[in-house]
Amino acid sequence: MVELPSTDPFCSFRSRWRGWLGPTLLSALLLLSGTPRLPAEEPTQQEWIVISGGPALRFFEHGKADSHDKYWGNFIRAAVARLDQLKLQAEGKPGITITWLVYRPAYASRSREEKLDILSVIVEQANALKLPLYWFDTTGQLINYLNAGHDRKVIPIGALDYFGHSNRACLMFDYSTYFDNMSKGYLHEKDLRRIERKAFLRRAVVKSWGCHTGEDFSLWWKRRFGVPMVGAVGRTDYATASLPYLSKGAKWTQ
Amino acid sequence: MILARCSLWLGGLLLSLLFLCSARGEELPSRAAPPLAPDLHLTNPNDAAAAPATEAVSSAQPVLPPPQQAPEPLTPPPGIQVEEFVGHRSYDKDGSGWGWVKRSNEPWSAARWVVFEETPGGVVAPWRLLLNKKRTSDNDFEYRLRGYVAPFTVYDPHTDEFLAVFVPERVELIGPAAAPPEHPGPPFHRVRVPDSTSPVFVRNPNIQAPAALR
Repeated sequence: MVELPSTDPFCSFRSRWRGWLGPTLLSALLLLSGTPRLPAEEPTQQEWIVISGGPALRFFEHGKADSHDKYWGNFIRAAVARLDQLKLQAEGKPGITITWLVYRPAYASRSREEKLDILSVIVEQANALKLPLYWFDTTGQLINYLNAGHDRKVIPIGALDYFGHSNRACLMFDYSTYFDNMSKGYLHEKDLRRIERKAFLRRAVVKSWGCHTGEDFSLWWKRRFGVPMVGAVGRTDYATASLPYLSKGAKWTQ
Repeated sequence: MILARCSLWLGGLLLSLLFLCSARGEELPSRAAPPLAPDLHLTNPNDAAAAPATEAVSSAQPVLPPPQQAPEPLTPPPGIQVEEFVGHRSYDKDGSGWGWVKRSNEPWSAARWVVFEETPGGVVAPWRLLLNKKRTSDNDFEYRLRGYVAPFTVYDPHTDEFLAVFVPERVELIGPAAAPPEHPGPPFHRVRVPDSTSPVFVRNPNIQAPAALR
């Protein structure tokens, strides 16, 4: 029995589609799977950011059993050490911009307390590194820079390092600066939604060098951005002249 | 000859007298000095200098907190006025809040748990001006305050809370008072990001601790 070709126009249309739908889908899938390797999708430029939080005032910390920030420059010295590392890593990679963001009010307060022009000292450090330094006075300014400091479609954030006070839920740009044992300028884990997801490269390297970040903040970070944030479970110590190290019993996690 | 002998004898006498006097002159201070001399050698000159100063400061510090007045009148943000308040200092062993603050004509049920804004060289928390400088020194003291509640909050990292801020212009002690019925801290005080070291440890910070453990 010979099967007659269907005269149903819809049926013929379907059979015609069946013929080239498969290869089309296949090619589309191939195209999609290959997109991350395309030069247009892999940004040729990226920004590496280092953030320095500020020190406490001695007025508030003096005499405490666990007195913080006897030296004002803990978060500056460590940031400079990291910036040095990043500069070396960026050598021969023309598309990389390295930026240093520093929370100004805490250093301005400490300057007044110590009768020392700390802000100029920080500017000199940046000049010596030949890197751009941006002051920020509020969390809003920092978030604005992360979101729109550059066109993040063109120059996404490829690396972020944070040096400063922190606890398990919050990065504190000041601590005991305006208020004893308190923070006025901070990035709480609940504020992470204010930062654009797409500001970061998918393979961005993010690390908080503060205390306790790995205990909770890192989880929120990963959930928000899909990018891990390395953080400490336990405390970190800024006593050395270089990058901070883990205190006894602490460990890095992400 | 006689004169010569006399002069020799007188000279000898004078010499011996002088020797005796000089010997006594050395002995007298040496009896009084021994306790002092070793002290001077053993103690740090800076400490020795600091000791009387500390005593002077201590004697100048009052037993009760003295009144304080900001060097310049406050300039609150638009829409906020400087008003009269009553503050009740409540030491919070968990957090860093200062105490309760309410307007003079309000009941304590309307009081807010606040952080006290301190200005080095200006108005500071009253306990800093007390003899022992302990945070608990003025617990359950009431103060007449002039100032305003700031339009922002600050973060207490020890409790993961956001607290209201009182900006003082003038502080005057009223005296000791019975504690308000509320426990120290804001209403959500016991709802915090659980500490891994605490017995109430949960992954999700939005999960509240059971009422019995709050």
